[in-house]
Amino acid sequence: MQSGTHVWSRWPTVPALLLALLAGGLSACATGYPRQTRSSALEYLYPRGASPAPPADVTLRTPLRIGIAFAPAPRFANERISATDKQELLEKVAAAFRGRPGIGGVEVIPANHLTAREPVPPAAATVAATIGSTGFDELDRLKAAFGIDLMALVSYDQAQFSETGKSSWAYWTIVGLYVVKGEKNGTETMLDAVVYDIASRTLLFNAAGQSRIAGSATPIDVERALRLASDAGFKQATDDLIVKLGVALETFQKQAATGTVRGPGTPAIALLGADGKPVGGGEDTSGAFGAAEGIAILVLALLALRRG
Amino acid sequence: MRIPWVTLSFVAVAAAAGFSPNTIDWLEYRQAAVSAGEWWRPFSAHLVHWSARMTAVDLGAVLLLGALLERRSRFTVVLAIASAILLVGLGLHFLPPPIGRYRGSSSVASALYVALALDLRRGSMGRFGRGAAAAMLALFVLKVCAEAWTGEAIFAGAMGAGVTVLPRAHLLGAAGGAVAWGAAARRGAGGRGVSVPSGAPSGPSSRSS
Repeated sequence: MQSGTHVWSRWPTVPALLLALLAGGLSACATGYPRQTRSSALEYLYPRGASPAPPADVTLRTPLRIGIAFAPAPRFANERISATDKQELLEKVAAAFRGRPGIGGVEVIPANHLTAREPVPPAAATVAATIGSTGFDELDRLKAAFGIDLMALVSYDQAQFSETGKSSWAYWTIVGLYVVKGEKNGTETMLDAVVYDIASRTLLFNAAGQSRIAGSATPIDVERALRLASDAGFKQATDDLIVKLGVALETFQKQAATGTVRGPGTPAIALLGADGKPVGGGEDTSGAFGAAEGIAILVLALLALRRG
Repeated sequence: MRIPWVTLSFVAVAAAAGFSPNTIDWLEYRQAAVSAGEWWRPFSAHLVHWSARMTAVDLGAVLLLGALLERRSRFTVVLAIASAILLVGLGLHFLPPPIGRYRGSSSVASALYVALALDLRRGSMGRFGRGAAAAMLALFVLKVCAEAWTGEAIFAGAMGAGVTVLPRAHLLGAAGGAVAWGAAARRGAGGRGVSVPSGAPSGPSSRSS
C-alpha cells in the first residue's frame, strides 16, 4: 500500500496487539511490529467526549501573527524526539514563513505551554464536555498570552519496522487515515500541520510532510541505526512539510480571496487590512432604498392607480 | 385583473434565496470569485440581500413597482428587470472603483421605477398626472445622479452592518429602466398589437403584452 492513500486495511488483530504489548521491552526485531512515537492534534483539540465546535465565519486582520507548536504527545508516552529537537524543527518551519505577505510574525510556542490530554473514560465524557476542556480553551489562553491570531499545530507519527510485509502503519490525520506498509528496518515519518483560526475555531488549511527511509540490510548496531534514521526522518519530513505548507498557504490565500474558507458551503472568510478595510477586494456594497424612494414610489403608485 | 407573474416570480425567487446561507454564498457578487471564473455572480447578486430588513424594503419596492408596471406592460417589466441585471452586473465588475461584494435588488427596483414613471408620463393621464410623473422621474434621476457624482448616499436606507452604498447601482438600474421602456416603446410604435389612445403619445403603456 502506497504512502498517502486513504485506506482501511490490515488492522492488527487484538491478539497481535497483546503480543506486541507483551514484547514491549524487547527489540523491535523480535516483535515484527513497528516501534511508534506520536502526537495528535486531533486528540489534543477534540479529546474524547468533547463536542466539536460548529463551523463559524472567519475574520482575519492582516498582518497575521501565527503560533506554531507540536501537539502534545499523550502523557507517559515514550517520545523518540526530544523537546530541543522539536524546538529546532519548529524554528525551521517558522523561519520559512516569516516575512511572507500577510504574515506579521510566526511565534514558536514552547512545548510546556500545551497540556497533554489524557483519554477520558466514557462515564466522564459528559462532564468533560460540560466544563469545556478542549484544546481550544488552551489555545484561547495562548492567543491572549502570545498575541497570536492563528495556531499551527504539528502532529507527528513515526514508525520503525523490523520486518518486511508483516505489519503496517496507520496514521490518523484531521482529514483522514493513512496506512503505510512497513519495510525491514525502515523508518516512516509523518508530520501533519493543521492551521486554525483561534477565534472562530475554524480549520483554515492543513498540510502533511512525509519521509520514508529504507533500512540497512545488515546494520551492525540496529539501535543506533534506528535512532539515526529517526532523526533523519524528522528532518526530511520537516523539509517536506515546509514545501507542502507553502503550497497549502498559497491555495488558502487564493480561496480566501473568493470569500469562503474552502468553497461554497464552508465558513465565510473576510481578510481585513490593518485599517480594518477588506484586503484587495474593496468593500461590501449594495444599493439603498430609503424613505425618499418610498415616498416617491407611493406617489408613482397613486398616479398609476389613478389612471388605471 | 392581470396577475403580475413576472414580478411575483422574481420576488419569490429572491425571497427564497435569502433563506439559505449557502445559496447566498453562491449568488452574491464577489470580485475575486468572478475573476476566478464564477461569471454568474454579477447577475445573480440582485437576488440576495444583506439583511431581512433590506430584503423586505427592496423586494417590497420591486413588488409594488413591478405589479403596477406589469398591469400596463409585462414586456416592459421583463425588459426592465433584464436590462437592470445586465447593466448593473457589468457595472459592478468593470467600473471603478473595485468593490468586494454586492447584494441587493434595489437597482432592479430603480429600473422599474424609471420605466413606470416614463410610462405614466407618456400615458393618457391628464396634464397634472403627466407633470407629476415627470417630476417624480426628474427627482429620482437627480438623486441617483447626485449620489453617483458625490459617491455619497442621500437618505441611505436599509442595509446590513458594515455595508456601504454603491450609488452607481441605482444609476445603472435607472438607465436600464429607461432603455427597457424605450425599447418597449419602439416595439409598440412598430405596430405589433399596439393600441394607442387617441391624443396620447405612443408608449409601452398602450400595448398589451
